[in-house]
Amino acid sequence: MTTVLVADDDADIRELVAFKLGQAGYQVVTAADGVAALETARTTALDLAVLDLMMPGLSGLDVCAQLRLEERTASLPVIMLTAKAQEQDVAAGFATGADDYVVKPFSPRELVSRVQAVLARAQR
Amino acid sequence: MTTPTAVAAAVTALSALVVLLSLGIAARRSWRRRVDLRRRALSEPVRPHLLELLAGEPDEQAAAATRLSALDRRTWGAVEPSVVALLGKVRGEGRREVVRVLAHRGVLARARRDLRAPSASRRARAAELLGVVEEQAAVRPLVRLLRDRDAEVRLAAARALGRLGAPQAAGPLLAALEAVPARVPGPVVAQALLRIGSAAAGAASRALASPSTPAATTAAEVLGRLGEASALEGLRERLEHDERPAVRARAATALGRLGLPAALPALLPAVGPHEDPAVRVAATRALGELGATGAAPVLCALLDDDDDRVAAEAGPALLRLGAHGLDLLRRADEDGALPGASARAREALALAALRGLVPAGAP
Repeated sequence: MTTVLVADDDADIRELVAFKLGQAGYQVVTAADGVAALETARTTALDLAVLDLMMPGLSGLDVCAQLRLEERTASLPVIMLTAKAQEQDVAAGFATGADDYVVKPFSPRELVSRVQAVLARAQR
Repeated sequence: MTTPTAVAAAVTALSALVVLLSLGIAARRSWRRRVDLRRRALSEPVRPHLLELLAGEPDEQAAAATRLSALDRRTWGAVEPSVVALLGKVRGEGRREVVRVLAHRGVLARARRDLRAPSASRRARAAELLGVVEEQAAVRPLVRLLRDRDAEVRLAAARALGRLGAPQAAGPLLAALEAVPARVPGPVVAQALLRIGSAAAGAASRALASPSTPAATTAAEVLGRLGEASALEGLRERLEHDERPAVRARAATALGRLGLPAALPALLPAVGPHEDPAVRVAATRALGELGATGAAPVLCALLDDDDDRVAAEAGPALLRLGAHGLDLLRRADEDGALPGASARAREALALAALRGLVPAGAP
């Protein structure tokens, strides 16, 4: 089963994304901050990570950059989920190796489509 | 009464007061905890329906809408805060379903009434909700709330007007900055205007010449961030003629953000030694953002400026000019005639290497 990590400090968002991805057939693990996200990525066999950009401690960008540095997670597909829609934030997201970017407020259906598309690209 | 007796009585009275206060605080906390637990007990079973409403398939959404619309008042009261909190975080069909349920339950009608409630917290909550659901009919009363006696209400109204994207709110939002003290903080007004977008550009352009410095600087900031090319003349006018350094500095920053070569003749004199330091710093950065090679000689000279902040901006500004700027930085580094300029050039080249603009060690 495809496993997706959802990391967001907002419990509502975590629950909502986990619900929608679960409904779409994915197994979901959650983390409430960047440190927990990194720890989960190191210890769990993940297929994709959805990271909130602004998290306490390590931001989504920090987590993504660290994932890229570690052999086990270097090629893990990452989707950034964030309220910041400024062009430079999008650019920073991609610069650290994020595969896609979803801006809050988000459409749960669109998020699932993005997850499917990124996973399909990763399997090619 | 003797002094020791009076002291003992005072200590006893104070102790009793402390005990009473402690008991009061403990009782209040316990009551709050009980209320929270009761609310959670009522809302938890309904939570899956809320998630289905927001993120389910169309048939699930319809079923969830029916269930939430039919909840008894007590249960709905427990779940309503979660509904409102989630509403601002999603878009799409789920969001529209939630708005329909809120309308059906009379929440929106109540919010419209609450805009005139005697309680400031109710007015603020109502303003926030009407902004989140993008209730266009609320624009006028929300504009009126920009003059509310309570600061939280004014803040909520400004944010709501931004969410509504109402062009007619742009003027009143900027006018809220003209009061002394400003009725709404400048960054909140700027954020609201940015949400309104290009439709706010006319009001912002007019506010550039406002006698209120917060209004003029916020207008310049917004025009720059919106990339409003039509504001070029107004911003240039402010940079060249406004007496207030804060306005000139913000105009320079905005001109940099617009990135139009036509701003060059106004920006070059703004880095001159007689200009205000903050304006010089902003104009130096803006020259880099323009990316105009015509600014290169001036930026090279600024590498050795007496003002460290200006000199520190000159290197990154030259980097923004691309290959020509890099070449000039290398020459300044190698030249060595001006040690300050060499050091700044080296810093900028190291920065370029870190960013991957040049191979590491290339300088």
